[in-house]
Amino acid sequence: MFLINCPYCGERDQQEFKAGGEAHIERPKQPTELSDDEWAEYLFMGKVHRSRSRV
Amino acid sequence: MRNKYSVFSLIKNAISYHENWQRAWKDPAPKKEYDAIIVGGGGHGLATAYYLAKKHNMNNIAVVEKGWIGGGNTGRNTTIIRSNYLWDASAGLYDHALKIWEGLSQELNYNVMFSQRGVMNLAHNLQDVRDLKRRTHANRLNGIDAVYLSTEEVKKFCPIINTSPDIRYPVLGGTLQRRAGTARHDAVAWGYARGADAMGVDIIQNCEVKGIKRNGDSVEGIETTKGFIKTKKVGVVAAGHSSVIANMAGLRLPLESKPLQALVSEPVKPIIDTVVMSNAVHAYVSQSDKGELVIGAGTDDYVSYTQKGSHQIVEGTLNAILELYPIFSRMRMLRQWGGIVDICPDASPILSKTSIKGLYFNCGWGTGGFKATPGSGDLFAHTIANDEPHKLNAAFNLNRFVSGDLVDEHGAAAVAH
Repeated sequence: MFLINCPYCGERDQQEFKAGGEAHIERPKQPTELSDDEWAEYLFMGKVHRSRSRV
Repeated sequence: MRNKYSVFSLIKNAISYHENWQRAWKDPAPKKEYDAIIVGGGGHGLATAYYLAKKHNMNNIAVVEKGWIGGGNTGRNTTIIRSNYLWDASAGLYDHALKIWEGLSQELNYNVMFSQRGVMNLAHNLQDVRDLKRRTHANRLNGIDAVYLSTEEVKKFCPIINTSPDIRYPVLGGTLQRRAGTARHDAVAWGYARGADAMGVDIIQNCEVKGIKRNGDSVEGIETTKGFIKTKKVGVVAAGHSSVIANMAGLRLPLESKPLQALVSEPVKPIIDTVVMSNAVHAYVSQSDKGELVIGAGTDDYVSYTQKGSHQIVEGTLNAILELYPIFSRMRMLRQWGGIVDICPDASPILSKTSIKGLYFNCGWGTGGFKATPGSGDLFAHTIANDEPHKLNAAFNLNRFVSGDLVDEHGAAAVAH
């Protein structure tokens, strides 16, 4: 196990520092007005491309 | 004409020091145009080409492969074959494949070393017990062989498992599918390649797809590193890189690509004659014919295209293996690798038409596609040839993510990913 020293909570498992997935996904502002296509887009269609990670 | 493999051909070639075996498949340059092109020369892609030629008389077709055939996930998985899935749609899909496996070596005249040694799934807590019993009943209602085993029966079937009640995740029972087992992964790709090639399919290796040419809403051809190839039908079977190809055509797929790892030990004498999988602790193990323990680990928690995977995933799996099989505590691991798996939100595959005419996708097999290779090829060939899905893969369409009619197999997967 690889431990990383967190300045706030001490030594923690590296798992806790993993990338949490796609960030900045905006939740629908008017969920009741969304069509099925828009729901599918929001829920399932990720924007992850094969490319360099953003830093 | 393809020479048949037999004991006589073996003797004949032994006399000439095995120097005169016929090539198993040709190495053609791409033609200008094909009736259909399969992108991806793994087991699923080669099987698709084989069944297109065999069952649908489409012989002017090609398989294009970025690297060499069978070098992706076909050569990187733990070769487990089973069909004990919970939902009716999945049971139909995977058992269709299992039935083809049972006669595949004879059909291909190529020994795929299919071994029905049984697959056992262990339960480690009360919820596991309930889920596995439910799955056993569901399987039997779908005509799939399944039995529920008590802890004692688990121990009897696989004596090296530690069934002591004192371990952290004790074995409370398990299920067994006796028709399940393993096969030789490379042989599956090579057998299908040889069979497809004999029927006139061009297998073009080291040919990477760089673009998909569209004319409005129809496919016109593909741009590759070996030039433009014209075709009206493109079937994409590119596993972890399916979304990359989809982007070339301006489509998006509900997939996440992650590394999935496996590892093998040094070879030892026969010690485990079945496949044992454990969901709760994420450990599964079988033994190859060479004697290596074949161990499957989990996926990384984040999206990546690097074919290696993180160390802590292997560590977690080996912790579980050692607790369940203390006899392996001094085994040394020889090799470890990763493959990029394309995971759908509902952990079920996509075998589907798309909004673009002539463009078909066979993807989303995630962590468990090897077992489905023959069935996937058969049904995808049907979908491409008829421009309509077969009834067994109708549920696995792309539109289910809009309609909400998901085939949610997360709970029924044999291990948690």
